[in-house]
Amino acid sequence: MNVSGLAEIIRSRRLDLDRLSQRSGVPADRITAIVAGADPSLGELRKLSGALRVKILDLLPADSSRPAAQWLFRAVANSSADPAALANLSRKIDYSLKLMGSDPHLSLWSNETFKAGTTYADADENAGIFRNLFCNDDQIGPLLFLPRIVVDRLGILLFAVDAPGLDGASAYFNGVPYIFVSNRFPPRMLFTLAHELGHILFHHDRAQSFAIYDDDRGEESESAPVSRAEESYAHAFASCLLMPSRGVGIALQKIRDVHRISADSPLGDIEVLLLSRIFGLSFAAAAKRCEDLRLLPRGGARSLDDWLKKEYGSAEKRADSVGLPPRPKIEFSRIPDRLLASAVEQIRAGKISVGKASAVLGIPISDLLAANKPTVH
Amino acid sequence: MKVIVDASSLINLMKAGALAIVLRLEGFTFNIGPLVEYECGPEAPELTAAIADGSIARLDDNALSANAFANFMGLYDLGDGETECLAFADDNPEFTICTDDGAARAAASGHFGGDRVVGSLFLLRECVRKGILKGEEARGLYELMRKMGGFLPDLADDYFTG
Repeated sequence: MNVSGLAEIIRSRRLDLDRLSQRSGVPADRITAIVAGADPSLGELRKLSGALRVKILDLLPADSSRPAAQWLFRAVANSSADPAALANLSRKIDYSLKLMGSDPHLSLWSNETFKAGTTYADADENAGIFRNLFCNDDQIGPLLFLPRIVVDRLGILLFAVDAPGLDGASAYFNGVPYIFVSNRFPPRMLFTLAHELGHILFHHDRAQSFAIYDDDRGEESESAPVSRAEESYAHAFASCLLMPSRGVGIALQKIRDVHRISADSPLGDIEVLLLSRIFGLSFAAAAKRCEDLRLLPRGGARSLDDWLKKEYGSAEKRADSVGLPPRPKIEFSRIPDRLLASAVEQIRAGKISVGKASAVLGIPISDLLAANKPTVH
Repeated sequence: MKVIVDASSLINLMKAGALAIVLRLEGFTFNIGPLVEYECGPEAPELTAAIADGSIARLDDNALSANAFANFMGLYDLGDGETECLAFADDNPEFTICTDDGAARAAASGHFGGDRVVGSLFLLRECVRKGILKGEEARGLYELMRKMGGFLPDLADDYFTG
């Protein structure tokens, strides 16, 4: 039997077969034989997929009859990207199309809506235009509800996914925009969402199917310098969008008034921690934005972050230790509401099974039943 | 009747508190595959209890060819648990598949014939026929399953008593 998917995952994750054997309960010599073409039992595939935290389908060869979404991310992802994670994103696109058709829900912006450009100042200006168009021209406040704006106002299909090695991804497929954000610390997810939104708005041609896959670069994803111009621009856009300069100025003034800090004092860790909690970003991302706004010296964000880790274990522990207010909640639905509604409709019509919808959308069958409950008005 | 049960039926029956009732049906044996058990989720105490006391037998998928599973997956594009039911039914001609999912029922009926496919409503009706439930009790359970979101069809008034 051809289990090329299994072989590919073992290769890309550089897995030790003895360890995989220990975790799965399948003897190492059987794994070797299966990879070489021996017929596995369903039990063996089930145990291997469980140990690898992938779907059984991911162990089988990719289906070449599937639409191009299957190959979309493979073409753009780093060669070390996890094949199961890529397949997961592609399946979500494939089945979204199957469930909803390829009719874009909304189309509220065009290439002329935003300013063309590649500089940090251009990104800042475009963040302001975005806030003007989609946030009732609020140029000051936090955007903790950005996930809702992206889904409801822009018609983007937003998925929070469990995908090893992925930070975020965005794509246009058959005219429909998609953003995928890896499940993790919510402020990190918010920044990734804003970053991918930058790609959708400025780097995707809606007339063509296109994808960008951003690898997980650990905590550095939000604060470290990025090399590619597109990445750098999306980073700047995310930073400016989530921490607008006017908002930062007002918040900082209030923080200093409350804590009786003189206006000419250098920015300290507590002030950055408070800004990060107000605007829903990680400490690293908030500090980097302060650096870009020249509130911290160049390199100051990294130094402060390193110092907090060394002294307190993490920035969050430092914030908690001095009794800063808890972080406000940032809500990410696992799948878009309208996709869930379409899935329920298609299950009712017998066009897709409840088990398949559950697997593709990444939600339990009981959640689909809950969505099918009759509503009482 | 040897029944292999899919997650859609099990979850519907559990949500209505009816699983233990249908498991009392004489002349029926109930079976479950590991993938269906997984799909029912970690919080299914009725299922755990039924497996523990032997009312539902856990099937061994180590003897089942992954080829059959992959073929059914390619043919019908169902979920893992539903596909597992088809693979077990293919391997054991005595099995009748119990599923409440429309697409899975269509695939199973097309492949094995309609006489090898039932659903939770059939089991409730059997309970009425064998005196375990009254007709109105079965209808109440059906309505509860629908209220809990079960993907179940409209029924004729006399479905449980006719």
